[in-house]
Amino acid sequence: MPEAQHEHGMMTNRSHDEAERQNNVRTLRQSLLRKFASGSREQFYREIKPAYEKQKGAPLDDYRQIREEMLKGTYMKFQMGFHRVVQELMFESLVSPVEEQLPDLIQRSKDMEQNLGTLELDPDLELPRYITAVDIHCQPGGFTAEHCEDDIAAGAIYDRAIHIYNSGSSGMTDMAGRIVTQYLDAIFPELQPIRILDMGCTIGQSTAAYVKRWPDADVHAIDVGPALLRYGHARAEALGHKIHFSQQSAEHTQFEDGSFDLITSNILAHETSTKAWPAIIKECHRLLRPGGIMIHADLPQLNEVDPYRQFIYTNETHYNNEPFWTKFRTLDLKKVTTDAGFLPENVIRDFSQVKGGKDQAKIDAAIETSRSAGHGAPAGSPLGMAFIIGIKE
Amino acid sequence: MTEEKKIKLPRVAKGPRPMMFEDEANDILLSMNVSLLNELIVTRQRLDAVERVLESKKRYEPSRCERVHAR
Ligand SMILES: C[S@@+](CC[C@H](N)C(=O)[O-])C[C@H]1O[C@@H](n2cnc3c(N)ncnc32)[C@H](O)[C@@H]1O
Repeated sequence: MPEAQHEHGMMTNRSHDEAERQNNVRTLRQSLLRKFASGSREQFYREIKPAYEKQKGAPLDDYRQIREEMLKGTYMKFQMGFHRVVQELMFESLVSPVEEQLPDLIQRSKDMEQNLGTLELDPDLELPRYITAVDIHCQPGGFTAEHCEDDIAAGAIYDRAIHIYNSGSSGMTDMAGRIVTQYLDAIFPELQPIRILDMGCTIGQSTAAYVKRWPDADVHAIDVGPALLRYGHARAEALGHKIHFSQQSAEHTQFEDGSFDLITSNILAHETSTKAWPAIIKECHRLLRPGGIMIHADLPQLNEVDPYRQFIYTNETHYNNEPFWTKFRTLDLKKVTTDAGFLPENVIRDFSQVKGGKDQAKIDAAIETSRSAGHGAPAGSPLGMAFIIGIKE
Repeated sequence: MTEEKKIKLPRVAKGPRPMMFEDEANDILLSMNVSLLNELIVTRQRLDAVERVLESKKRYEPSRCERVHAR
């Protein structure tokens, strides 16, 4: 039985059947995808690769070629087809209850206000094309859609989606943020940020980890999706987390120079573009005070994983509406960071190696599922998280 | 106050829908299959809930099903 998701005052209610439908999707996703993933990996190493290399007399080490070879068989087609269907079913199971309860959810989001944190929206903000071109992750309506006044639907859907999507068995939804705080604790034990900015916060579920780790800090969170932010604000109020949400693009924010001691982002990078990411890093450089730290967590770049994993990663582009994924994964992140003004000696590329924290068992379980789904990074990086870190001179 | 119109949320994601098989019909059949599988599990869980309520109560109250499975 999977651990139930942490409930809070903004959660969409579910009938017995609605809850079962969502739980099943989660189980299908985890168990079947895991089986498929290990099945196809085995097929690759046992049959496809040796057969190809014997026949051609050359190594099979280009992910595009691997894709071509893998898709000649039925197994991989089923795996990818299945992936896509489960993703669609997931959103189907999530959208109906939210649609049914939308007016009530909107009312609840207003009643939740206790002036702990704040919310600032900018209706004139120009939405980046890389976000609006397709509905990323196949979430109908994407990150930015608004269906009515004071809409919170995208956030409500996302809140339950992360629990289904989270490969881990845990009910924690701020785990990604905790991986960052544990990592920072390990390499910067002295760090005591006073002002923190989380970029691409979605509904602030990872931001919550920073509030918990540094309760006295002033925590800001930005995103471009208005419905995500409204929901995120109400959710944070419901959970008693003091977060200041605002609708701003990370490429260009309204904050003053040197405003922050710590800037974070979690899986924002690969959803931007090869043009936007350098702009975001420049903005970080501007926003950090001297000695301030930025840390961006995402999956590893292509040249950091073996060819088979390259193939698995680039698959996302095809079945999960991630149009910029593959191109982004070829960017030289260190170069982008030094080009933005960070001194080479102040730039770190590293992989999460969290051990011995109090959530170790849960993190290990998540790592295991994530690994078997083919999301693993090079050895020594448990959750497959890769960090790019810059310290302002 | 005027009667509020029910807001419809989109069900289909914007962007091209990738097809894995040469014949699209196979992709569609796969979709149907997995959806049916999911609904079958929901139905069995519901049946399980009904049985548990029946076992514990002389009189059947459908609302009790809502509380049977941990969510
Ligand atoms: C995958 S989500 C991030 C999830 C979240 N940080 C977490 O920890 O789970 C990517 C988010 O980045 C946002 N985003 C994309 N481009 C952005 C930009 N230029 N500025 C701010 N937010 C952006 C999207 O709207 C989306 O909510």
